[in-house]
Amino acid sequence: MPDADLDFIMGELRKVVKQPEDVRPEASVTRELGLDSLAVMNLIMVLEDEFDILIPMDKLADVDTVQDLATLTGSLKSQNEDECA
Amino acid sequence: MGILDKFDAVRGAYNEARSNGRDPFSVRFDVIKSATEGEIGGRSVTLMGTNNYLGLTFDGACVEQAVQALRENGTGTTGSRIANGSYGLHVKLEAELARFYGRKHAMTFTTGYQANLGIIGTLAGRDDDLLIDADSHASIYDACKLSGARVTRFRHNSAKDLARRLKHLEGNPGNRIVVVEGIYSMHGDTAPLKELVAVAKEAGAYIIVDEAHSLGVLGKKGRGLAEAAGVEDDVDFIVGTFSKSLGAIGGFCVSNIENFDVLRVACRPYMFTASLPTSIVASTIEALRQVEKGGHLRERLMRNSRRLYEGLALAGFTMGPEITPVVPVKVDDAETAITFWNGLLQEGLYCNLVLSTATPDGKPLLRCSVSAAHSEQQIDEAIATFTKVGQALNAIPKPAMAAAE
Repeated sequence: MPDADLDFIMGELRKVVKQPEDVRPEASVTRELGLDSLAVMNLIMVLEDEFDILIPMDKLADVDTVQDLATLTGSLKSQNEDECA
Repeated sequence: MGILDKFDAVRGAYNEARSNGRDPFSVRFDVIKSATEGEIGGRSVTLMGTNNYLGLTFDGACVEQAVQALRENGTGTTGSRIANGSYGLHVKLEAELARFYGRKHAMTFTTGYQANLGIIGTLAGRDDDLLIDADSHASIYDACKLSGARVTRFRHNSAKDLARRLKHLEGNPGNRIVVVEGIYSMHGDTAPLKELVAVAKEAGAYIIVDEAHSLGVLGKKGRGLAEAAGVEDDVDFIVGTFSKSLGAIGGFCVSNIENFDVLRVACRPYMFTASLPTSIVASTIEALRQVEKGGHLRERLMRNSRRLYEGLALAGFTMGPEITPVVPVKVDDAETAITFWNGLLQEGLYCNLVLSTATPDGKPLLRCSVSAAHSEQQIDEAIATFTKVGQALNAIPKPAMAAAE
């Protein structure tokens, strides 16, 4: 998955967390960065727009870290490309 | 790790909210005297946060019907309709609801929350896609979890975003089900239903409208937003509650869909809970009658809503996007909101304190709900109280000094 996607996700997170310096790939989105459920869902919408994908809410159950989120969006993007191909 | 440790953040916020005076989440009324008045600690309080839109909770005929049913059928049904049978009044209420909405089928639930859990959670299965408005009520989110369907949120009231998402789902084998609300409970805005319905139909999706806050409020006959927007024929399912304009408790769904009754043996939140006591059912039947002929109540309700909204806007408050009986005042931060709410109560005005996670944009709200039963004097007093407390907290500008004239 391209680093650009991870960078984009971290950039969006830095806009909403209290301490932007805490945003790193291995940080837990809810426990360490302190996003509540609404903030997570709003971030998801931004990522859906940016990457032109849908991220079903149940897929978030497996997401803990920022890296997990990037992995998830990466896999959904490639699914999308396969379908379009 | 303690079993409740996962709620540490919530507990912290709760304690903070309580530290400033009363506990906003467990207000105790000594007595409720009418649809618009209560008492707390021996002092009179105007009720402006009860969702009692038509003021029917103390309606003589509704109370009389409830008392009669209570005497005839006892206090409760002590069981579910599937296991323990229905009373005549349950069946009558369903027939009345179907007639009121002009639909073939109606089904009642013990609460509005359960109606959403039951209908959305059962209609959507594992292979289906649920598309819900981002500002949906908690019961809709919980229903999504119960369903096991794939769930995506579309941007609040955006037919364009809904269309984009439906396009993504083209070719999926399951059904697509769109869920929207008539009036959104926090900001009080209505859905652009005509556009949303058109997008849903174009994609072959089903559409469910939750009219919890719009039943009795919108539409010539009070059937809600679908009636007001002229799209009832294209709405597949309407869900709603008896606990707001109908002044009782309970929920329902109406539809024209074939084989609707299979839901009675498939819908777990209908099957595995006790049915409504008949006193509630009887008052609801009477309230529904009054909603239908209640054009004058709706006119008065909208007049009151406009008076409150415009008065507060004129005083300098930041209001919601649209005038409906849900009238929210936006406040910058939680601390101000909590102090403000306490100040209002101290001055004899009760509204709802809504802290960030329950509001769509994360801003706290002082949420008022207007009733047809409010007098103009009560509305004007509420505006004066908001203005007084708001000025003291610098939430709105203080009046200009006489010298400046």
